[in-house]
Amino acid sequence: MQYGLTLSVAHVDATRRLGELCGRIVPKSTLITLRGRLGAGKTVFVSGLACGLGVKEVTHSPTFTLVSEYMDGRIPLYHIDLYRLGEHAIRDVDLFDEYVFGEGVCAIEWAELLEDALPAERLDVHFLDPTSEEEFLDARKITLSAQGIDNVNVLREWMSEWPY
Amino acid sequence: MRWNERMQQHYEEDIRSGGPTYILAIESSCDETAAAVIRDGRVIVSSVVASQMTSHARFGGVVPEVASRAHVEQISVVIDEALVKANRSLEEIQAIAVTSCPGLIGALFVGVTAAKTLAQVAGLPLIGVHHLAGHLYAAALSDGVEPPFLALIVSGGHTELLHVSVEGKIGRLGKTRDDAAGEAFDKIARALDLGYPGGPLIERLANQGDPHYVTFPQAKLGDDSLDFSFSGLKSAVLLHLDRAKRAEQTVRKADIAASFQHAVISVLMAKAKTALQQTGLQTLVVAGGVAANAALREEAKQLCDELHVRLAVPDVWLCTDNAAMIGAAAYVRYKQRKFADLTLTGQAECSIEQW
Repeated sequence: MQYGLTLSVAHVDATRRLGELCGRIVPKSTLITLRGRLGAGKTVFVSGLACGLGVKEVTHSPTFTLVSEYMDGRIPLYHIDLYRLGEHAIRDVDLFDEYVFGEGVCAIEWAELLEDALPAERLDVHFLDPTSEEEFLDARKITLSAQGIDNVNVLREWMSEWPY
Repeated sequence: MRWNERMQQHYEEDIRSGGPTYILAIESSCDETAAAVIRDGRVIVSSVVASQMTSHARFGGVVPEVASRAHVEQISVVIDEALVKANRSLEEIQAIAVTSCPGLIGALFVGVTAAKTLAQVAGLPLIGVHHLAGHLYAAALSDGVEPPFLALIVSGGHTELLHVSVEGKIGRLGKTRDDAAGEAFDKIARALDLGYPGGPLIERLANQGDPHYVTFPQAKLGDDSLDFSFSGLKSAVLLHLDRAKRAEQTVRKADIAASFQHAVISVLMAKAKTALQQTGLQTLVVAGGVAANAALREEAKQLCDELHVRLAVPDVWLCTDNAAMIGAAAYVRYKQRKFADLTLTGQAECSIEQW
């Protein structure tokens, strides 16, 4: 079972808001993949997600340490960034098992680097490459898709909260 | 007698003896496997750094599995060499220090395990050191600076403004909300096809460029905030590169590198200035890998001259990861008798305020 849609966000704050709404309703053991080029808004989305989960700490890019763990929210948030691993990410896939199959929400940036190794049941957040006009306005198009009945329900609930 | 009591007794004996305190320090949180022997927190008796830079350069970044394996291969050799160069045996060392957080978890484990083993075998106090505290105290090794001071830590993984009190207590005034400054350097270097690590490559290219070629935006986080944000700047540079490509213009790499570097340094200096004015602190320490950047050092000097504030910057070789700085930070903890027990473990993330 799957469900998907594409929405437009007008500004970086809307990307954060989208993440925040997700954080409020997302249940434990959810995998969220984030795709999109550098500067697309992946880390901004996760900062909103953390906020929605009730994480107090200021989030930051986990590019350097690969994984950031935020434990003080409603459920744990694991923020993973595969950017530095590049095409070799697949060799380290075992490193992430405890997060991917963990009790919390696991958000993975540059998830395409692990494509086939990740569970099929998940929420995909894909920041489409902006047109030059969108770029000028700092706007983005984001495709959200859910695989599996649980995730489809999460996405529906999430979208029922989205005001735009 | 329990381990903790034995360690306290060990400390008492060292203090009673009146002799110098030698700390063997170990660092393995990221790319470098390092060990050093430090006397009284100030004098570098020996410092050995084995870098994995060349093996990571091929991948354009750190590869954790490669990093951990390389640390395992290097650690004993590096520790041995540090002791030999210092001309001291383990019996002539008073404490073992190790970076326990933050960093790549597998990499940290290698250093922490080695340190715990040595502490147990030799019956020595063990000190867990926060990696950023190490960067802070690197300046103490170079110019003897003492708290209180304001510290601007800029590296691949961190961008923070810290207030270090006279007692050595560390408070955070600001940090990055997204990318670290050094991370922005790495990502832009990759976008410009320069390679890894990005910092030195951008700096070299920027020397031949015009810093005012493009005015890249600097993050607006509200006037009061001492937090940083570099992802907007990163996006602006990428956007600029994209537009040039679409318009089939030649990309003026040196000018873009210079303009980017200028934008990063301007933000760092503006926040440091506000923090100095707000706190009234009379000393600024600039440390971390990005502090090796000559343009940043020059700008920091100008800022401090303008504000009549003392500037302390570590020698360039002490800006990047090393164990000497870990020994310097550990000495502060040693004097406070804050020892770790053998349950010490590596942690990927931890707040410096809780160290």
